[in-house]
Amino acid sequence: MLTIKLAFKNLIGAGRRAWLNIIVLSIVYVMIIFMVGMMKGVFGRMEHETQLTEFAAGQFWSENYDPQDPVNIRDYHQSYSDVKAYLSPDKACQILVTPATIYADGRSSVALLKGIVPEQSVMKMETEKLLTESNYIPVMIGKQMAKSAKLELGNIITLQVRDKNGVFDAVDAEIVHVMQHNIQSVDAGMVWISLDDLQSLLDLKNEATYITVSNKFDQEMSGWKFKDLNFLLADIKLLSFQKQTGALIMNIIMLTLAALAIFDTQMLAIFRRKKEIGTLIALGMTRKHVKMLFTMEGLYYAILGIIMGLIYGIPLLWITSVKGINYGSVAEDFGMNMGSILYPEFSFQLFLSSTLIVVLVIMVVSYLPARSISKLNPTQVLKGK
Amino acid sequence: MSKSLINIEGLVKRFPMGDREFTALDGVNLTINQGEFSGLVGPSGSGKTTILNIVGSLDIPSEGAVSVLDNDIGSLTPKTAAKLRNKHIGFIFQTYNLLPVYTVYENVELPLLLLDYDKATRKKMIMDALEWVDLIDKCDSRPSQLSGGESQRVAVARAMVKRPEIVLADEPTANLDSKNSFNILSMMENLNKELKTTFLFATHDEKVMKYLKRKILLVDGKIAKDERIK
Ligand SMILES: Nc1ncnc2c1ncn2[C@@H]1O[C@H](COP(=O)(O)OP(=O)(O)OP(=O)(O)O)[C@@H](O)[C@H]1O
Ligand SMILES: [Mg+2]
Repeated sequence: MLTIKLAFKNLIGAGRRAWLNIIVLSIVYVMIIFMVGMMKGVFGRMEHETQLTEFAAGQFWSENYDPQDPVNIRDYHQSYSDVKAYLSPDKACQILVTPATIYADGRSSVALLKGIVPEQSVMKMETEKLLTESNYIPVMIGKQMAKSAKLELGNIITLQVRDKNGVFDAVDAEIVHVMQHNIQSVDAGMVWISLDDLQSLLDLKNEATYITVSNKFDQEMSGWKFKDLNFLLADIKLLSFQKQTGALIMNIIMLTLAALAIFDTQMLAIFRRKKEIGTLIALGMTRKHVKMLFTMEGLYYAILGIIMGLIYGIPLLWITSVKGINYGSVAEDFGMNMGSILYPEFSFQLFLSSTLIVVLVIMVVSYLPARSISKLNPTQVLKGK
Repeated sequence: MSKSLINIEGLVKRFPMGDREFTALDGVNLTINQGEFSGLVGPSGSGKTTILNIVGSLDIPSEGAVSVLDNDIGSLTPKTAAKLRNKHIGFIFQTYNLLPVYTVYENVELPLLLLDYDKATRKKMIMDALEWVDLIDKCDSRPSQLSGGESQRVAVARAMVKRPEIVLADEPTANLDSKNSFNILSMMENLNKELKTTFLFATHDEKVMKYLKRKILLVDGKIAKDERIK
């Protein structure tokens, strides 16, 4: 109790440098929570949204389908006639993929044309828009595709594909919908069309590249390879892991710098206050007690830093978690399209673990310099040596 | 005959000096009785401070027996040594050694905090001590705002506040002018008379010597003369 009181007085008496340490530590503490919360919020959401929008409960791939091989994608389809009975729009959705060239306004670009069942409810995509009445074939794209290919709602484009015999064919299509979600993997370089339209265009009746299923689907389908979510989300999980590792390293660096500053302050304090240490011993403290006093003084940096951090951090973090952070184009620096507003997620657990880590680290850097007190000779330090 | 508080027999103190040893005290025999106002005098390096440090349980003898209030200094643990200093011994230093971040009141309070006195008792004892040294009005000042004389009076109050049996004062006047020196010395003399506190000085200040009732002359770590005045 006495130690706690005296240590506090010493710290307050230490003045500017002490406050500087406390402020720095509070900033580091809030930054750690912010960065981890940011990562959690962004990647957690991205994983979740990607799952809902693209993968649902998993996919059945045709025998040779390889999404990493866009060159031969035209050949990766097979008949689903044998399993057609299982494919109701709320349980499974067949998708046929083929490369296409888009002509619009005299510009041409290459895209993947994906045929999907408009009535499906397996994935969170507004495929029903493909049923929109139009004089042309209705197609839809994502907002990122719209931006990069300079397309917008109502544009008429020409799609050129090669049918199953390799014969070129071209049709006019109208963009009847632009999807506003942020899932790059169903957006960038893709044009969505109704499965029937694509099948008749390619002359591929009852053929699909892969079949996405909902969790209501519980069949085996011979000739189709099932890919579960662990497999399908592996890329995102890896990216998330990499980014979180990066954030972790940043956090370690920041905390190390703050801890070094406190370590340095404590070393200097013990060096400068040797005579004071001698006096405390003469007044009746043991060296162990003085050591505890100085360790406690260091620990106050953690306590005050955390309290200060919480005072401005809680409102600040709360606002960012509710309002989100507008990243705009900076979002692309993350190596993905996450949308321009990011919502971090701060849990009680995150606060607790950050607090514990900061306290633990500061405890160590307070204790290490104080250890030297055990070796001080009181008669020497009283002389000011 | 009053009771002896400090008993030194055959005290030898050696310090390591490179690969050899330096003998700072060489067979000191000395008894200090309760209520004495005595001083160790002698040239620089003769061992005055070394004796005070050992009596104050801040250091231990190399040889010989030193007993302070029936405690054998050589065999105290860090804890019992700290207890002895805390309860029974007051220190006064040449450089005052006040704690800079504490007020005058808090500096004087520190020994009492270590002794676990309750707040009301502490306050009464601190006020008494500050009255002895005539510093009641400087209660809330910080050491940096005090003159040298005032600082040393605070140090005297801090040493006396717990009413120890023994006060050890190492060159207490060395940094003070003569007016402040006499002032401090007469305060200590009064406390010696009123509270029967035993004072042991280490000094080569003539002004201090005028007040001493007993002068123990040290030369080269040995007692050369032990003289009682009046
Ligand atoms: N820790 C130590 N290590 C080595 N030598 C020491 C140590 N402490 C004291 N000495 C030596 O012991 C001798 C006595 O020292 P001490 O400090 O007791 O002298 P003193 O009589 O108090 O002198 P002064 O009047 O200058 O204060 C000196 O020669 C000193 O150099
Ligand atoms: Mg000396």
